[in-house]
Amino acid sequence: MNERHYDVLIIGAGAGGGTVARELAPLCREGKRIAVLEWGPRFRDSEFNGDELRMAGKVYFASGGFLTESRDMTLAFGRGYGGSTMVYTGTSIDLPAHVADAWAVPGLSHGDIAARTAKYKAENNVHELDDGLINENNGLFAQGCRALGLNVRKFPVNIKGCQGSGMCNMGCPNQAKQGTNRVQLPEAEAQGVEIVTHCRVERIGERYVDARIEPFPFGLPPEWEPGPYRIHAKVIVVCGGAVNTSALLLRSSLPGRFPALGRYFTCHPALTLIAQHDQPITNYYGFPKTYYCDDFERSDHFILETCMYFPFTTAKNIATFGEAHSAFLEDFRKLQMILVLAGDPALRENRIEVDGDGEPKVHYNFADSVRAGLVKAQKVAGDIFFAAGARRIHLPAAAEPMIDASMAGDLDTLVGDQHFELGRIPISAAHMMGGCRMGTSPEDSVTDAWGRVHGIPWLFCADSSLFPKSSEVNPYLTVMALADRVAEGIRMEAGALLA
Amino acid sequence: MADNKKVFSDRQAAFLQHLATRMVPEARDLNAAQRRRLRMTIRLMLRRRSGMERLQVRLFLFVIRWLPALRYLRPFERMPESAQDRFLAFLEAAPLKVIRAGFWGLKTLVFMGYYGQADIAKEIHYTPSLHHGNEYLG
Ligand SMILES: Cc1cc2nc3c(=O)[nH]c(=O)nc-3n(C[C@H](O)[C@H](O)[C@H](O)COP(=O)(O)OP(=O)(O)OC[C@H]3O[C@@H](n4cnc5c(N)ncnc54)[C@H](O)[C@@H]3O)c2cc1C
Ligand code: SF4
Repeated sequence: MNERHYDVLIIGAGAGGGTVARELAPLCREGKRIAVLEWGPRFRDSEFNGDELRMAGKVYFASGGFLTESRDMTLAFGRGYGGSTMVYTGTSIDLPAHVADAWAVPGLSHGDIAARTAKYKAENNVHELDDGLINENNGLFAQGCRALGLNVRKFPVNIKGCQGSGMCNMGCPNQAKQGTNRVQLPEAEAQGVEIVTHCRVERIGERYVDARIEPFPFGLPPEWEPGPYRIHAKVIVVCGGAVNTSALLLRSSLPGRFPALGRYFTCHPALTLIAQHDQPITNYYGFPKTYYCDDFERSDHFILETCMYFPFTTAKNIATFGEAHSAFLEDFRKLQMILVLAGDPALRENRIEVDGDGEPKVHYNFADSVRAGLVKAQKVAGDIFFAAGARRIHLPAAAEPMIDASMAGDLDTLVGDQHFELGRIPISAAHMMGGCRMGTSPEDSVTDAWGRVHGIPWLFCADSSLFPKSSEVNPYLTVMALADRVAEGIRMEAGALLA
Repeated sequence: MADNKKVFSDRQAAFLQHLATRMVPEARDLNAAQRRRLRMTIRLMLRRRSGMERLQVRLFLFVIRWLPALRYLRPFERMPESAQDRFLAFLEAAPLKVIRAGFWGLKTLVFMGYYGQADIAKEIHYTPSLHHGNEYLG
């Protein structure tokens, strides 16, 4: 077993880990040793080549199709230098005040989160896309919403030099998305933080971790020799993402009782809805996600967003097969897409567990409010598609998923909960949250309002696992804001913690 | 990691190829190289899954092939095409969630093997540009 010693170890190089690394980096000037241990590799720019299947196998856990235990939803989360920020779309939304209020974590105010969020918006070049760069897939969504009297809003996005490849969810071939792989991690490294890739942390012990370097056959080679390592540190910050942070803590023998560990998992279950137009439109050219509508966020707990996926992903999102399926996909240029995200309640039974090998298992039941939201969202999306001139649409929770424009007036009767058959309907999620939620009592939370694990002064979480409930909106900026706060807490106590 | 043989027998692979043509009718017209790629993709994907998941897929294929024999007295692929499609549609909307989910998983593998191919993507007019996409906006 190889041994190493550091002052601070950060596990995971995603939105949370990258932020903590950069925020603690100034400690390196005082002689402190900080390392980030990242399971995945660091990719060469040229490796982001848009090959749908190959890229999915490289940049995601389980190729982006991690199945929940009930086999009715797939989860997507990234692995590598930058974590999911390598594959996210970069839409950059503030946590709404009413959500922060509902989180009700004593000591954590909306003002605190908003101030930190503003800092990362500035750093990550968050702005609205120029009108001249908006493609027709997005334009038609806006047109349809306006025709129905819905408020359509432009997403703030964090891109710089976007060339419109449409490949955001496979890693940007033009280094345009300002993820932690482009901004915070390089800054941290420049200040002396070491990043160790191909390094899977297997368990956490009393001020050490056991990890293994097992090189992937892609990406840049590992910084350390392959093999097992025991790495000692005075402070350990876990940032593996909601699923993997919970799994890592669950398979480590932590001192204390943590009845809430892995629980209150939320993920914004999502449906991809697709329409076919008579004529080709510009859809896969240009930045894929420009507009959203949150008119139903408070009343029905869903938001509608534009999106554009790739051939296989699109094919699997269509809830049928055979002639009808093929007819829909015969000309990809005619497709328009809308993504529906449901804001799901944080239920104790929705949880992450580990199996006998320590691998994560996610148990997720769809709350009635989520089902109702996803059903209503399909009707609204259907109306938007038809108002934008679609000839035919695909709504999975309909008696017949393919609906012609001639039936546009019948959506209320065609779409309903009785057709919302789990297992048949392709549901996916990319916003994993919770499992190590912040709070005050170990009975219903895992960390305090500064991300410190209850009763363990040297152990912190600083990623999406901290969310006490779902964010109801795209979460990465809130992950960064919370990680920033955890780093500040550690800096404030550095004298005692790192002595 | 399992070897190729353990993922599927040749007979199962041939049956899967047949199923693919029911799920994507154009799969009938694939050339030999494309067929090989379809099978390879599915094999590769299954090899990344656990032994239990691979077993479930094999079991599911067996059920699809032989369950209709109770009524038609012959395996799935020798039933009339319309009956094949009806049986698959039944599985897709089956009363038991585990069957619906199993069917979705199988369908996903087939779509991956078919639509994951670069030349098929071109055929359906999916031709993105890595570095010049914005130039195609009107
Ligand atoms: C396809 C996709 C699109 C998205 N689009 C958006 C968007 O447009 N806007 C938005 O706000 N959000 C978006 N998100 C969500 C956003 O990316 C995440 O909320 C955010 O990145 C979560 O940050 P995190 O630090 O918790 O985890 P991650 O960013 O996922 O990082 C976790 C890292 O930890 C590593 N790791 C895990 N376990 C271990 C271990 N045991 N040892 C070592 N390393 C480990 C992983 O490899 C990974 O690199 C998207 C996500 C996806 C997948
Ligand atoms: S659309 Fe723009 S930001 Fe997205 S991957 Fe392509 S170049 Fe990068």
